[in-house]
Amino acid sequence: MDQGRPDASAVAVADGRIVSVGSVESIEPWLRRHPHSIDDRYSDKILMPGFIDPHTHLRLSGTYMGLEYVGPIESAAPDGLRKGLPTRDAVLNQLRALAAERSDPEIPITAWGYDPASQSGHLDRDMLDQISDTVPIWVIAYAPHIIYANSPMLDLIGVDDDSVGHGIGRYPDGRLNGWFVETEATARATRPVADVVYGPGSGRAAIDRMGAVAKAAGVTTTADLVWGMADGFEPEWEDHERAMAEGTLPLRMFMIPFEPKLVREFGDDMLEFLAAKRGQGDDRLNTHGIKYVNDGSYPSMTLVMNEPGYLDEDTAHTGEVPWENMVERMLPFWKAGVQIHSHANGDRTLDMTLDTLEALQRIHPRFDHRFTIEHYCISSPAQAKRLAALGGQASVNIYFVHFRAQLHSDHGFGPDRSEATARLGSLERAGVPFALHSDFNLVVTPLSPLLAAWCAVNRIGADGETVLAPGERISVDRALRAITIDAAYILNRDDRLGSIEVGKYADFTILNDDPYQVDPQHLRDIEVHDTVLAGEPTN
Amino acid sequence: MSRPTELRFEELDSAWSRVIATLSASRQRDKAKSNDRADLDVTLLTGFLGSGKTTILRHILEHPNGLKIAVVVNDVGGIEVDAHLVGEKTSGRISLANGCVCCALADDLSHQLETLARIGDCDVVIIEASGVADPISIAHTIHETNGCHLDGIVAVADPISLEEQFGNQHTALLLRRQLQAAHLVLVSKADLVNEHARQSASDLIAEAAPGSRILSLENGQIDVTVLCGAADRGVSLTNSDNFSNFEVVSTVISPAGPWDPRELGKVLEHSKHQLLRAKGWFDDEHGSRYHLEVVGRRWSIEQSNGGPFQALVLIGVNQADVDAAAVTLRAITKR
Repeated sequence: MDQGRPDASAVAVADGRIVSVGSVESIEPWLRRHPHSIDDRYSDKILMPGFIDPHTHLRLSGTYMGLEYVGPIESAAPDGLRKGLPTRDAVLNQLRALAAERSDPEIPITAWGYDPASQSGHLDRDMLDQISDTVPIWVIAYAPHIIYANSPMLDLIGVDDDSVGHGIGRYPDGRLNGWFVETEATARATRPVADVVYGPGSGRAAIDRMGAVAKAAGVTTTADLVWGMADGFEPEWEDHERAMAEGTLPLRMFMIPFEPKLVREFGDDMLEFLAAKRGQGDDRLNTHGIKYVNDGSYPSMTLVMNEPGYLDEDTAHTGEVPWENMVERMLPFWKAGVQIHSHANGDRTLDMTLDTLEALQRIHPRFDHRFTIEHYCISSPAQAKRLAALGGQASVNIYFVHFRAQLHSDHGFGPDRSEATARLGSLERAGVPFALHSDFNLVVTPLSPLLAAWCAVNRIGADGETVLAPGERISVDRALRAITIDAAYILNRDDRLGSIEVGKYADFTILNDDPYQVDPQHLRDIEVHDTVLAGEPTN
Repeated sequence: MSRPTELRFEELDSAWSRVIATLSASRQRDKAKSNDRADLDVTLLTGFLGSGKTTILRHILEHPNGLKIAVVVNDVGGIEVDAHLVGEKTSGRISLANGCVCCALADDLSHQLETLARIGDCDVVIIEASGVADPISIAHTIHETNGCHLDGIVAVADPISLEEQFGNQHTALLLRRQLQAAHLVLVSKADLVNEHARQSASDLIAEAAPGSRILSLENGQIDVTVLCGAADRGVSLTNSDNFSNFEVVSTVISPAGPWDPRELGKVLEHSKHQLLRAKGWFDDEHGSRYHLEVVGRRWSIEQSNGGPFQALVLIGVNQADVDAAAVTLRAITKR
């Protein structure tokens, strides 16, 4: 991905950094001067710069990974596709298998997605007790909102036949049947599970689990875009620090603070706090930038759109910081050179964000500020040009083009905006630097840079054939840059990350096939063999 | 374009959001959350675009009956309350001369509600959930937010377009979910349809959500004590002469109990009472005091640190419903 020297067959590494790139012959001047060994374990593989996903929420989303899927249809779960289970018996078998391998009976089996309508009827306490009367089992249905529990789970929830409460289900004889319906009852039944899912140590466990998912997808660097929001700045930082120290998180991680939380917690001392953290951080874990969230999300149809707006009801949400205060809120960071990452999913929000950036430029003009629009889901070509003129850049969620755009064509956004979701071609034509990210996440899309690149190159809808907004497709090379060197640029680390270049960190993603050689329609099928972080294989 | 899997995918996605919302809501709960009735009562108002939510909210804001109501909506500008009432106005907030306020829904509802509860300048909150929002996710967030109490979920249905909405696979799914989640269903626009249409709307609702408590409204006229948890705040039913076409009746059981809370729970769970609301305090046979609250199908009984009085207010659409419920409740004592 060094565009000047695109091909190489050997790379020399020392102390975690790249010393030389070329062939075994060409790097010989270095080899002659230093003791070395040649490692040819990847001789039949493809070495890429380590993939960078510049916008994830590993710690936040990882906590949900303990949930087993028992729904009737195939689901794109964060760690890959999960098969649907056609019948109640299949679900019970799956739960039985989980119970058999559960070593710690204190930790409940938690499952989601059960559909009593299509999986042949409700579950109940006696049925689940047959699977295990020692391991607590908690299953939350697809729709309507019902939780099923077995006897050990009822104990954990703290209900018995004498309990008083709306929505706590009973057999005709008055015995609890393990059902919880309605808000109070489901909330009550969920608390012990939430305590496990979010209990002490859960953040760390989530980082380990999700770090493994990211690593398996070839990621070597990512950024947490709501640092501080869930459990506070220090606890979240410490979880990452420990995971790295104990070798369970094979990634570089940038912690991007959530601005409202930072302001609430540190007030006038916020910049000092960030400076201190930068000093404490290193090349593996550090703080970077500042994050604003200014509208809702794409899949929940809560983004803010310009005319003609939503097909049906306008369901947009705004963020916590009022627009009339935005310039004032961003200005201290802008002046201090803290890179601003501003979430904008809808084109109205994008306009407001560009107005804000323009105001910042008038008050205090800056070059190379790398103001980043995060997500950039719905936009116009004119907005891409304006973003270019103001010197901004975009970190784009491209997955929705495949997973959601066709759905929203007649549900929410209308065909024009849905098809043109994530206009990478317009950004390229306007000269705006951009990266691809997963926002890995609370919506059901996977984390995979190669899948992101596949979406960007092909723009194939959920039907598997329709090409959506063909003029917004980009080349394979540009897409691969958007998950490597251009993603490093988005995080303002392109001097150290993102390409296989002398002086940079020796982070590589090892693939089984060459993404420049395969049919672009098969980009997403390329297997990730391994990653290398600071010169060390992570497998 | 063909969209072969849209409905299931959509369902799956919303199921996932509900799971996440349920789990995240529980995690935000402060373990010390008390059953203190001083919590801010929050009513969730759902219904499709055009169902009549805004008309109801406008009516409530103009007739708050002494309550300071905070209304949280997607579009503050859309409410269009009587201009004489409007005080301070920004893009995200309108303050009214009668102490009510209308503010824009923020992305972080939990934080917004906590702030409202902390500042404490309103008595009750009504959240207008957009037509496409899943009421259950929002209800969980409200339920588990510190300082807040989910008073009830109220759905608004439009008798004119109900049949069409049930006929469309996109809207039918959501509509059914809204009605099933609701504790009270308000059929709007009763002034625009005839008796037959009102009845067929009620039938459709009852079919989708059996056991629904249904109330017809004209011109969005509804008493604040029916929409909000206000009956134990010293607010009584408005003199119905003010609104010629809106009428509900109430009765008081005093003293309430002594009742065994488990018995009472069983009765409420299984009886087909037609109450819109009930609220108050009762004692058990050992003299412990409990708070009882009924919003349509929903009920809760919680031990209380002592309520101000041992009495229960019952509110219903007609005298027969209220009397029947009172008879059922009084009968518990005799068991």
